[in-house]
Amino acid sequence: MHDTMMAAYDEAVSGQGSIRAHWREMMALIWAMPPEVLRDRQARAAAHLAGADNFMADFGAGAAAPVWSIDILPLILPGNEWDTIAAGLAQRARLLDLILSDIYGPQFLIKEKLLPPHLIYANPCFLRPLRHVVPPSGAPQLHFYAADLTRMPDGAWRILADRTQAPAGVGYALRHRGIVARTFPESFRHTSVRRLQPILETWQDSLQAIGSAISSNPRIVLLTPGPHNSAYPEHVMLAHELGITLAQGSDLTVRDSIVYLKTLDGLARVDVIYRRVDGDYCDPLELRSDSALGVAGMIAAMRAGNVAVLNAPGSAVIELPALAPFLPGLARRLLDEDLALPAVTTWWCGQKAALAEVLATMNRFVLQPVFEPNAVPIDPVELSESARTNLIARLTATPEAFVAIERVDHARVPAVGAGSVEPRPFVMRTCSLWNNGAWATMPGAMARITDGDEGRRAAIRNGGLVKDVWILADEPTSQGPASGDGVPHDTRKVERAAELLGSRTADDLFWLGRYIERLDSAVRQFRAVLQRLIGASLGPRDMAESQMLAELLHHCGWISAATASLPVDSSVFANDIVTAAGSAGALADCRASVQQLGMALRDRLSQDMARALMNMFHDDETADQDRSLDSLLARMDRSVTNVAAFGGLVAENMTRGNGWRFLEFGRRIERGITVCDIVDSLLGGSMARTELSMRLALELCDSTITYRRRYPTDHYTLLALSIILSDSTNPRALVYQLESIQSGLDALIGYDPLVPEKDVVGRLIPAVLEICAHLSDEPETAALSYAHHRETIRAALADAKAGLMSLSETTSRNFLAHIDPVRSLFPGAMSQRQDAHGAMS
Amino acid sequence: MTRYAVRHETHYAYGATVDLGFHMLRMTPMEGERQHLIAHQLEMLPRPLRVSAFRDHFGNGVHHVAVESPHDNFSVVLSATVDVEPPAWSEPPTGPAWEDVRESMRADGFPKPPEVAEFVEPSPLAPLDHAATDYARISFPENQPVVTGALDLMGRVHADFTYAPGATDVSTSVAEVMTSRRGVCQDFAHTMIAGLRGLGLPARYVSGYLRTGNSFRGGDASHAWVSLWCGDEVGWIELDPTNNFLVRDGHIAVAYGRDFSDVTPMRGVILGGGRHSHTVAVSVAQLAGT
Repeated sequence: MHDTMMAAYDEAVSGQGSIRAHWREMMALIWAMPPEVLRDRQARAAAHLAGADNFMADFGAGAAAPVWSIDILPLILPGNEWDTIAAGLAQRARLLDLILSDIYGPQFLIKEKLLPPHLIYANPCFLRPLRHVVPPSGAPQLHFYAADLTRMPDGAWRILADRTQAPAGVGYALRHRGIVARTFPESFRHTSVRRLQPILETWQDSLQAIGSAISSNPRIVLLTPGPHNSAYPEHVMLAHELGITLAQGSDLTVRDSIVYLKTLDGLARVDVIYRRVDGDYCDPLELRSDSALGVAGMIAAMRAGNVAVLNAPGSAVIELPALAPFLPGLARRLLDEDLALPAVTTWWCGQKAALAEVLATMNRFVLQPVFEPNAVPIDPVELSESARTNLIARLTATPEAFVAIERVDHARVPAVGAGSVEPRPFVMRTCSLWNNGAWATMPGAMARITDGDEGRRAAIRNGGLVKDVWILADEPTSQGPASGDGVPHDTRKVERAAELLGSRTADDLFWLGRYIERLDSAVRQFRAVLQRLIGASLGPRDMAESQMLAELLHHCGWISAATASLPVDSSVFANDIVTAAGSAGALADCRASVQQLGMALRDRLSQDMARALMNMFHDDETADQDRSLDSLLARMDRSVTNVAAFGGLVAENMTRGNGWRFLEFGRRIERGITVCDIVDSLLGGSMARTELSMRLALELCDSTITYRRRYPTDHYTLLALSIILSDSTNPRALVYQLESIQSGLDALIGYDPLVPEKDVVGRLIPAVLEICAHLSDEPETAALSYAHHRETIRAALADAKAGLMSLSETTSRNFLAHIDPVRSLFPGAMSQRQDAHGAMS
Repeated sequence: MTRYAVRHETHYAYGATVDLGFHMLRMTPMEGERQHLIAHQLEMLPRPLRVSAFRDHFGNGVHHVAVESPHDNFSVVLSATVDVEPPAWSEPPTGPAWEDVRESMRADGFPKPPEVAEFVEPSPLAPLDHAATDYARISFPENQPVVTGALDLMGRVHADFTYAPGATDVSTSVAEVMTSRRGVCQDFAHTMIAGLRGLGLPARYVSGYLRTGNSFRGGDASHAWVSLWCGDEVGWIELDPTNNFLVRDGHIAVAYGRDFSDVTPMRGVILGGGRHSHTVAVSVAQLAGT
């Protein structure tokens, strides 16, 4: 059987061993390139993919993030060949949409024996609550269709898998095109390639048209499961490119059978949902009741015709490979056409003839559980004799539970190996879109190298080695690398009226501001103590200052009371400090919060801001390997710089909208609290002395130079407080924070819950100024007045801190959460309940 | 013909204010061949902003209810007047051999009739269970007429399982019930359905109400029983394993599904609410003169 099989198709080399015409330019280019140049290009592309361009990978999407590498050598396909593939995909998409409409509608295909009932009724992706839910006028059930294709030894393309749930693809293809354009620009010089960008315009037009049938100025959201999903980077990118709002389930609510986006300005109607959450997670009321990713009432809103959800939940029911043998008949029945682009030979074993065929020629196939299309296939060839017997027994007992798929020797494509080019097997992911009744296929794709059969149906989430796919243009298009394809566009054609700020986004920005600032103050405190410990021997003043800093670190919650009470010159103390700043310490928790918020806000942050945040975490990776005080100090220095870089970008690059305002609120509140904590702890500590306290306070508040300039003296007196607390020109001073908050509140006019807070801030400002009014300019007097004022000052600071805390609470709880009280209790607050038959009291 | 007045009251008391409550109600008696809905009314407090009615995949009537103002309690009262006719037969036909029904469901991938095929498939609360299948098999020796076998199985379930309110809850599995041999109508129905499906016979779960009477179990709450496909000639017959009798005119059907999860009388999502308690009362009175 096997020895008579044809050799795998080679994309670049014909059967006669010559390079195919459409590959000649490319191969000449590659062969002319010294191996080290090729390696360097390859390394740069990999770096782009893993690093700067793919921010999420480093931003800690965690184990869920696929591990990718990219081959700069694209797969090249002639335009006419592609057009044939695209036509086949369009026909298949039309067919699948009609089948879906029938499955969720009259089900005459089942009654007419064109679809076996088992493949629908036992299919876990058949979502019964969606039955009879008809898309709004003009919208299809299937809107976005991806397919995995392979090329057979005879050169024919075949479908390996239909992807109809919520498939990925366009974002990846754009990214790969961008990377190849940057790292291998000369490759575009001799070849004219069809651009990918137009698919985004088609996509926008299509979404707009569907939305326009529902309301005159439609709002479109991309519903994402959130940052923990492996495809989240693509969601961020597509929302940006399509000019639509990225939303998680918790950003949405349903009122009166209408889906709304929760924003600071109230509820904003949503007309179209581009769904990237799996169908059964979309609505805890009617589908999986344990889902926190959807929105309760979405199906009811669909039923009322008030929202189009694309693809409709339940669309995954036709992803089944076992449907393949029935598609030719369905194409004839529904389209009156022959199926142009069939799947590789596939048998559902639930029919006698199919089972007989599979049992008779078992080694031609791999087998899969019928409803687990992404399971690793069972390869009969690899089975032991007993396992094979066992498989045959299972097949005979429950044949309907298996699908057999023909083993295919995937076509080969030239790929850059270790400095050389070699043919490797691949599959290709295509993306097609519904637009006003017609299907458009993106003129390009993503190819994945599949060494061995294991990649046959591998999902994108598994990662792997990928390639860009080029479709040759019939005529030269514009010159230059890729005509800007894949380069992120910041302005796309749809320019919306003032973008509404989502409530969750505002909340996340607020907390990002607080955590960034908190991280900054912690790092400065750790740095101060490290600078003192690192000397050869600790002098008495170093000892005293270190002791005070230890108390402050404890006061702020960074180290334990036990650590703070250790002798600061002991190695145990130093060791504890390193641990506290390491990956298991409190500092790491704070960093993790920044990281998490940064991820959730990825779509709101510019590339540069994201990169600045990312830099904060690079250091962490080596933190636990090198426990020396010296390297820890260096890390703390870098952290201070990184936070400052982020702050600079916020100041220089963020438009002064409400988003910026909430980030600023968070920062100012946290910094104000920090100043209160520092002064309070230093004044009240066991070692408290004016000289040392003020010196440290100035250092931690980055205000030493200001003091020196203003008071040319070697002594540090309580006058330092006038700089740290009441100098409204000092961006580190308490009063500066309060005044910034006050002007921020003024700008947020109309948000009622914050009105009472204005009075609080308005009262705090004079109170802080009052503290310093008592301080004389005369250093000697100031020293004398210390005892009198110490407690007064501490009481005033306690007041200020309490006021800031209450402002934070009001902002986060009442204001940002006022639309949906559940958010603060998430996820426990959303409870489901069901009555029991008979089991009720 | 018998006329019934059905009243089904559900009261929820929430520990904290609920801001938004969505409920799916499947509690109104259905219109059927032998059952006629004369009058019905759903009263809810607080009054929902919107009640929309639709038919689900199984053809059951569903009310989708949204309460969008803050509330601490929620009550639903269904009242209905229903006429029920007895079946044409006084004793049921015995039907074809059970293997014939099983074979009609295989039919090389295309069962006949196709719309029945859904009920031979395992479902969340009535999955394939070897113990339940082996238990059911005893009632279906070779060539046993399908109705005869089903009556025998129902009698055995009634005899072997103890009616024990409170012993199980909505999520109790068939496997657990097969072990403990205790439960309520829902458990008996699921167990019997799982066994029948294990043999390849299509069986449905029926949710509804039962004529209240001293000798019946399950009449003080919503009730559940089994519907079995017995081939083209006999069609569906309904069996109540909790009370060990064939359904004639003492049962009022509300909804059909694969199992309880398809026909839950009241399923909801609330935002807020804290801890909650609920009470349910059902009364089914036979109206005089019928």
